[in-house]
Amino acid sequence: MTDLNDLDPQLKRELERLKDVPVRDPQAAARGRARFLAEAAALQPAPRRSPAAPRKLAWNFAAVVLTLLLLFFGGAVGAAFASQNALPGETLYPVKLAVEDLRLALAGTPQAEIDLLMQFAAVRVAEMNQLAAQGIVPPTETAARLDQHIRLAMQLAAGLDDPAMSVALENIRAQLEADASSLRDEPGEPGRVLQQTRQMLQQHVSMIDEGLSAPEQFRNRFRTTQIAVTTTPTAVRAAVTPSPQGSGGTSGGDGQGQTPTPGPKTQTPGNPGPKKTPGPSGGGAGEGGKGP
Amino acid sequence: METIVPSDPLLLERARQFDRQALAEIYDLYSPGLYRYAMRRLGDPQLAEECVAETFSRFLHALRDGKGPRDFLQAYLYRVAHNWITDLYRREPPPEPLDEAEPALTTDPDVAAEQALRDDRLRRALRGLTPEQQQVILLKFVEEWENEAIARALNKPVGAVKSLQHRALARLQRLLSEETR
Repeated sequence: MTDLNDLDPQLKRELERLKDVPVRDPQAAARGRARFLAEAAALQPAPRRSPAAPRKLAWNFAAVVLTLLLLFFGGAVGAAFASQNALPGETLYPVKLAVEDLRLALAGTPQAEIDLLMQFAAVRVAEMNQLAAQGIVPPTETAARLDQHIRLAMQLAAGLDDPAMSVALENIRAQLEADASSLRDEPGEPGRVLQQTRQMLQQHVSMIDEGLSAPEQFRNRFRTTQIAVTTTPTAVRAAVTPSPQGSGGTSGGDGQGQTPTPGPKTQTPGNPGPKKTPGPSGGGAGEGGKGP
Repeated sequence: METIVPSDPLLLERARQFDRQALAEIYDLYSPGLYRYAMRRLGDPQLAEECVAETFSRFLHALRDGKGPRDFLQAYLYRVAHNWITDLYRREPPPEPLDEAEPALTTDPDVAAEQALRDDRLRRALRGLTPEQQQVILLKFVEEWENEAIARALNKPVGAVKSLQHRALARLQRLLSEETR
């Protein structure tokens, strides 16, 4: 069998020169990785959903029965597992959000939290796309939560040292671009909400670009800005809230967004019901599962 | 010489369920090698990044459609990368190598120029091979894969790989001597 040592010496020298490859640009590599993971989150298979009301009701009923059975026989773990494909407004959606909060609370490092937050951001985008595809207006709470995920991820990145912050921001940026381009073009009100969400993502991209060119200003912005948190996991909030300035933050740290200290659990977010496109308001952020 | 190792079945199974951790692990494991392979074939960092991105994207789409590799993931990924490069060259022929010579890793301008020239010659000679011949040369003599692994990446029997390799070497030698003449 021929191998490198059996070759003509001249040819061998030539081929060995091919082994020298310029070092890969670490930032390009990080962007590629983030894009891959963002695409994976966007492609994650979701359960097929039919707009037909009876079938949807049947599924909701089945979901409730399954949850009860799981709670009875399998406990909370089973319910948590069953909730992972739930959409805003569905019975199991609050369970899904609670599981996310728990995962964030258990994340060991700021980097792990950033990864999780951006993963959840991609999930929010996928949820909004799925609702809009069914002609349902994605609830404002979902967009607000998406916004919070991103802001918290940026705030955690601002607490890292310069090289780590730069890589983290590049990763967040790449994912935001992938998220923005994955938002669908839908007609009517659902499409308008997706368009607004795309603009929001692009604003965050601009903010990150500023951060990459002026890291200190970016840090200062997050040191002095308190994110209006309504449904944020306690652990993350504790980690990212600057402790001084009497803002009531509970980090106990130096305001640099270091490892979170899990605080007392707060309530999980509500279960805002999505609105069907053409119909009346339907009572705004009411309980879910009221779609026609 | 790199021996063929079946991919961790558990890792692949988790990837099939779009487990983020598993997918990240796969990316970290295989993307550096794929990038180097693409750089050797393409000689352009941006194109090489594009090749890696497209390879992993096709992998994800295959997983979503219930397809993709069952065992030898590395061979699968290199096959996808190879197909992407072949399609690229079919769509747009490679640019003249002299216009995109990589800067040589030396500070002496004369040596650098000489190295760049030799790199161009080599890349031009390689491009004179068929896509499969290029692949077999790189996998065998640069990546140092065993014939069995190459056979999996090319989806061919080992015997066919050996004769392909033999023809590729003869042709490369001839093209190189023509280039230096």
